[in-house]
Amino acid sequence: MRVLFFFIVIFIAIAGCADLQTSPDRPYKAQVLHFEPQSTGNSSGWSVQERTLSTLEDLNSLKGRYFQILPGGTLQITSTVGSLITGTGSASSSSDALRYNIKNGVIVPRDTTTLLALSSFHAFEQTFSSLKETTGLEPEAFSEQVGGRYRIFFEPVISLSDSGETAQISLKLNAAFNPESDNFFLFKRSEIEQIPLAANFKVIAHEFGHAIFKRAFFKQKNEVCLNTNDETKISRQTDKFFPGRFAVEYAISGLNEGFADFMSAMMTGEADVLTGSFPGDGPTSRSLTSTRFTFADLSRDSLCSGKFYCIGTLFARALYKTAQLYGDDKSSLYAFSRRVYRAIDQTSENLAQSPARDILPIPSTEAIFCKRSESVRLAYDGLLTSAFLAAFLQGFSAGNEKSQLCAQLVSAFGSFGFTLEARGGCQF
Amino acid sequence: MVASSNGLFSILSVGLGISSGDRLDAAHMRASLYDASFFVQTYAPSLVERFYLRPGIRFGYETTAEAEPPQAVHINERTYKSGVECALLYDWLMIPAISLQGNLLRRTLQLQTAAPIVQGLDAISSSEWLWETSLSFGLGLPIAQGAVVIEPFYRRRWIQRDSRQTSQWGLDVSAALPTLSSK
Repeated sequence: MRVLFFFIVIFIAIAGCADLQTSPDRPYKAQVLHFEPQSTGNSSGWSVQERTLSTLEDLNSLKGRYFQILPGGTLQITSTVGSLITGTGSASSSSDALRYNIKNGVIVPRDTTTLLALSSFHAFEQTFSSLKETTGLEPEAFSEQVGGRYRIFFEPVISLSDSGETAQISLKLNAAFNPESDNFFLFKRSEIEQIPLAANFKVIAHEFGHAIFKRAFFKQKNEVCLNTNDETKISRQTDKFFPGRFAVEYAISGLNEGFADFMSAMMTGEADVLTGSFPGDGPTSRSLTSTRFTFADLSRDSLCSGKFYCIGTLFARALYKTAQLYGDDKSSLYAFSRRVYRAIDQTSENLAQSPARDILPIPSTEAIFCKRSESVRLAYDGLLTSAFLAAFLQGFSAGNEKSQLCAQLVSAFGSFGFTLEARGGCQF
Repeated sequence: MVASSNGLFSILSVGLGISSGDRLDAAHMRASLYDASFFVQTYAPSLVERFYLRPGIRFGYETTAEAEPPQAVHINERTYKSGVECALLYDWLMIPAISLQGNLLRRTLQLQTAAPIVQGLDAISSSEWLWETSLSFGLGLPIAQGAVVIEPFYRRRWIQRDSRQTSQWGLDVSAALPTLSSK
């Protein structure tokens, strides 16, 4: 029995061994995955290095001044449109999610999850720090619109209401913004990715762009299309502006993606949101410099497999190429980015006025029933993009920049997606 | 093996163990653990008839495999461990045993990167000493008149500064050393 007693004493001693790890002082410094755009050559901009997390207020809960990263948790999804989702997220109660050492006052991750969670925090912090320059918005005001902090679900467990393995897989390789709850979702890493999307600054800046679009175009309202009674549906047939229409229109969602890609490019200095996470130029390339397709090409199944995003790529490409007017002059590029933001901010109001109002088609049957299209309809979606672009261009003053923007939009959207009637504000 | 014991620590056995299990971290990411160990055990009678104590020492190696590591970056773990253990077992046709273990772990963390990451100074790769306690429930199957015992077991582990859930299933195979068991 003495032997048994000896082992019990050892057990108690080991179990009671206190974790003497102390928390470092603020501002926190941590080893994270960092992206720095490279202006020349082929050298990569990715490295693991020490960075200051200046807005991190509580390390163990990853609570920052403007947002909080929530590792784990669950997500019940009801629908997805690209990287826009609807559903309900619930946070995990775990308070010891992070595993790290402190070396010379620097947080050093002890596992992959901690490294990626801290890297996500760093990437979101970078987006907030560039918000003022690229949009003119103050980070404080931006986060106040959601009650003080954005909630970012890091690698949540996903369940799908309408199920389907395909949806599960596509979500795995994605990050998302939920405009209804203003939550971000960074889905689980996978072996298909190089840099996990959850730690890719460019992807996070793209998702952040959706939050900016919601504020500018939807005026921070939750645009939800509700299936109501038949009488309402009949009235929608002639109501171009019924509540929730633009939330389900395929073309508007695509333009939302394009604005997000453009914001990512302005914030990160890189023209392809997916490079770093996926190698090479595949069929789903989002490059704003190497893609060549036009709006009319979207009717061909073989060309652009992600048609939903491809409308956005056309919009983002036109904006990005217009930005080339300013070369590497950062202050001029940011000034252009702020003008784009202000133009988007005026677009919804301008849509209700001529000429955009007249170009805007009456709602399709799918839109009336709050259903999303699954492919581009050149005539219908072309009128939608035309109306949007006409309203958008009203936000720009006449001059060389607007002429260049018009030319790029014509080049990308052609006569299907940017009709002659919509080009009234252009001076070539 | 136990039934043939006729004195304190009169039987010395050696064996090999293997085990594996899944580990979930705070983000519910799954990793598989694979463990191999070598152990030496002896048997001592307790104050209660047919109940025996089985103290021993164990040396092992453990590696983990993340379920879906991204190509360009992840932190790999390998662990060497050594420890002491003591089981309380009941000598019957089969041998149910409950075992308490204390291990000292030497864990190596290795930051592994690939393109497009350009790795400069690596401040993450390191080694650390950790304590572990674990509780195992086994069921020994004696063969060859108890000279060999095959013991499948379930083990729950608690590791200092490691809150990730860890439990394992495994198998220990031990054989009595002839020179001692023949006494």
